[in-house]
Amino acid sequence: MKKIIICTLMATSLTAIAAPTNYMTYIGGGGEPTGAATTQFDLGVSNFSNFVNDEKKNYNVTVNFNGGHRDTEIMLKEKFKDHKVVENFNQANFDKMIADYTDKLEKNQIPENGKILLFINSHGGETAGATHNISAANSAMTNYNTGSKDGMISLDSLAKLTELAEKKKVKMAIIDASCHSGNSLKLANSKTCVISSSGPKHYGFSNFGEIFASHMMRGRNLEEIFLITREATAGNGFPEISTPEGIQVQDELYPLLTPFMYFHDEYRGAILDKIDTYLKENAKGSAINACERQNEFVKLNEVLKLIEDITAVEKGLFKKSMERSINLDLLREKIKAYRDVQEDYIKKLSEITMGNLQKMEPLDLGNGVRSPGYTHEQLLGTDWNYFINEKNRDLQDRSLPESRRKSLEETKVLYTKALEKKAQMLRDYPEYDRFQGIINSLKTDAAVSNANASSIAKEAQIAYAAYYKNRQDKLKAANKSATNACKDFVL
Amino acid sequence: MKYFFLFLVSLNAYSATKVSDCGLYDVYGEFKKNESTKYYELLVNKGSVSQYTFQISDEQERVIVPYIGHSVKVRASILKKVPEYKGELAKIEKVDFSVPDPANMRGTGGFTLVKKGKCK
Repeated sequence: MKKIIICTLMATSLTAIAAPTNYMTYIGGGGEPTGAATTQFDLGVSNFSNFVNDEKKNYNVTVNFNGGHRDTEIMLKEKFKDHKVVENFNQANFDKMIADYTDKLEKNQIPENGKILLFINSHGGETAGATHNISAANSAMTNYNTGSKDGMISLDSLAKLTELAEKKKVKMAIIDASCHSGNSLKLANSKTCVISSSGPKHYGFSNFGEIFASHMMRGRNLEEIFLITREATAGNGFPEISTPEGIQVQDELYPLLTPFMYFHDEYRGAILDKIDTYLKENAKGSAINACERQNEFVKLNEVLKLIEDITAVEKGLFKKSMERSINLDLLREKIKAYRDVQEDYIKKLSEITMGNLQKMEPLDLGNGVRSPGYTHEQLLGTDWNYFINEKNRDLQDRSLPESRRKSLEETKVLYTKALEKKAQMLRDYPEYDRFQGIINSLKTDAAVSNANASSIAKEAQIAYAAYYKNRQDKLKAANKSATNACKDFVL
Repeated sequence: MKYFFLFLVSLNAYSATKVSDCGLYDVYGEFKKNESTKYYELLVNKGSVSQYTFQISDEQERVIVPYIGHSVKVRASILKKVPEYKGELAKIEKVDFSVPDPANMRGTGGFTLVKKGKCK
């Protein structure tokens, strides 16, 4: 009897000290300005620490975040003192994380139904490869569409990991809170839940990452947290989830809403723009494009009406009637107003003929010397004043040999002639000035602003939530909602 | 025969981060000013251990100036070996904007040999 008690006690104590077989890794914090003390993602990682500090017995946690931001580093050390912190988020550390998880899965160190959650909070670029790229440490963002020129990490390499986790029947989750993160949904499978803060074609400048982390609680599943977070999120974006319900709702709503969530803005001196390109491309098109846009608009209104109808509820004590539980009129109004603005811009831009952009303009440099010159497009697209000033600066260097000085003087004359030609071209071809004037007006037009696009995204949330709930009920009624990697991933 | 054809296709699509032969190349990179020499340079594989630097002459700068500050694809002849990753472009035939795509194998840097030539 004594032996049995000792054995039982030993077994209990072994269970108590056994390392958890569930894993979480928080990555990101890249692409931030060099020298900044903090990153814009700090609140998200801080909120995440609240959950993992309460749950340290249940999860092995690694934070691979930031790199070179002083206050962020201090915060990480303080908030994650009981966890592993890898300070530099770069390609090597990202690859190591994948290799470590792969190794654990291959050696069956993570048991069946064990959990791996990967939380990504960084800047993200548009579609690249199968998914998209996110920014690493020490690579300040220069372009919010493509990402910075160096230091971007492709998420494509997570595909093998998700496939292996599926094979090993390990539950996996990828919460991608970066811009354009809808591209990551391609990583989902029967065991991997993917949640994104935005659609694949949109920025995710919102508080999605922070809110999601703040709603992480034991017993909650990821689908629940996503739905709560989506409702509470403020800002631009179209959060997505890889559940069957999510895929259906997103497939029907997102493509049709896409142009109405585009906007023009600036952030840290860089342009945030989707609407300029959209309008220019559509202005180049023919009447077929206009028809397609009209058809899409009609279709969007039909989908919104369908959502109102299928989510209607029976009311009335004696005489029962169907009454709408949601009203999408405000969304319709906002979309209609934005569409009118877009169509007006497209019409104005399409009226301008830009057929001379590739025409060469030779330049007369004086004394019978002529340069082949530049095309209209090159003349218009170059900041000649900048290069003239640069040559003036270079010429101040008295140590320059005479031959080099002469060469720089000749270059300066050429650029000055190019500047004069540009001014003449804007007089001779008023369409260029008009075209540029219309594009410039987008910078200050509130109708194409982030605020307007965000307000449409916010109203669209009502449609998303109602439609999602309806799909959940339908699947539940048909008993088809059992295989859902997001619902199965319970914290 | 099928494998020979595949081999030819793969040779044709060959692109690399290094210059091993002289000839006509498509070079992917970006122009940056060297403030000490006051010449522009074409940087390939920028920031990596295999960064190439090609000095741009003043005459060449006058051609490429509309593309400064952008990722570019430059079709140019390389007629001298490129020791220590520093060289010159003998003749620039064409410059185009190149959309950066770090996920693409070629990315924003690298070389594609268009036509092999003799070194001078």
